[in-house]
Amino acid sequence: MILAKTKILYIVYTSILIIAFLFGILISKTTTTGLNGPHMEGILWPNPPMIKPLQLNNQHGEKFTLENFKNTWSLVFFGFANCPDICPMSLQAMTKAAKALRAETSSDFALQTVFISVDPERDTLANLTKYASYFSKDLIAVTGTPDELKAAARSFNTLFMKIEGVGEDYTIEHSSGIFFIAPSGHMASVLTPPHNSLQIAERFQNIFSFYQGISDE
Amino acid sequence: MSKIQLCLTLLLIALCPNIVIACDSLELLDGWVKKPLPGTKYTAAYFSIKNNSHGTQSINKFSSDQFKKVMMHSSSTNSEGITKMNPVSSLMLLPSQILEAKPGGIHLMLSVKNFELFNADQLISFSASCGKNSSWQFSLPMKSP
Repeated sequence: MILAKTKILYIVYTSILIIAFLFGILISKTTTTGLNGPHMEGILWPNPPMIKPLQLNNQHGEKFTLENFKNTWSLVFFGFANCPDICPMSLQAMTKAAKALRAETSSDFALQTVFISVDPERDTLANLTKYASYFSKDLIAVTGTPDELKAAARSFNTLFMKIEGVGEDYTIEHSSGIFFIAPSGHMASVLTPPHNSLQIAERFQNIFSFYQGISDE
Repeated sequence: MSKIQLCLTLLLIALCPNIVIACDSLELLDGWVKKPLPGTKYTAAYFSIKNNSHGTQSINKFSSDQFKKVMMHSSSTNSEGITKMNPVSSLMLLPSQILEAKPGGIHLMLSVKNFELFNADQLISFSASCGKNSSWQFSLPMKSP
């Protein structure tokens, strides 16, 4: 009698374990089939934040605001002209990638490259004109007052900090990511360094396809 | 000093690499100076140096007559994506070690004297100081980034 009871209990427990195992497989399958986007690396926000209003000036002295990010894709880099190491390499990679992307895509595709200088003290509009034209005639270089730049950095959820040195030998700590801004003004992604043009172009195409897929749905 | 202390001291001495206060056996493998960009007062130099000696070599200072100032720096990016540039006081090369100064890492930050003086492919002379009386001369070509 006791032996029969133990047998029944054994069968019941085993059945419960098998059912729980099968249920677990079912749950894991249903929860992982939802995201079938392209292979993405780096940061891609599920709910992309909208960049906030900003007020800067481009190298030609014209206002550059949130409106300038509308109806075009944008690649944005924060830095300063006297940054000798990471900035020129990143700007070169970014402008080269943009040139390749423009050449590969249709004529109605708009992509702008924006360099936000966080060093208004040394990066006068005249200096920015010379500096930006070295990389590309299409590179938009913008700057503003320290307060305007702080607001711009907040708009991109980033920051910068001046590190005092002797005289003009100061430096600035800043974001070295390349921000991908969608034509809606949403921050689609940020690519972390080291940057190279092929990697930027590939990442952009992935994000672009992903966004096209969303808008087609 | 006990026998044990003596043994430990000898062991420590044996394990420590010999620090050679001279620029002997440093070999330049590669390198370049970034042509100063318009509108800027600073540029950077990158290089690969090999220590061919059996002792550790230490470079304390770089200088160049063609630049106002030469500073050893190291760029680093933290987990929040913020890039910092920190001064480096000396570069240590272990025996047979190749030190690579490259974009985004260790580099020489050069303060430009006169922008107009530079041409692409121009050779820039540097002097590396390894001690009070030891220096090593080498040249790097200037290139557009």
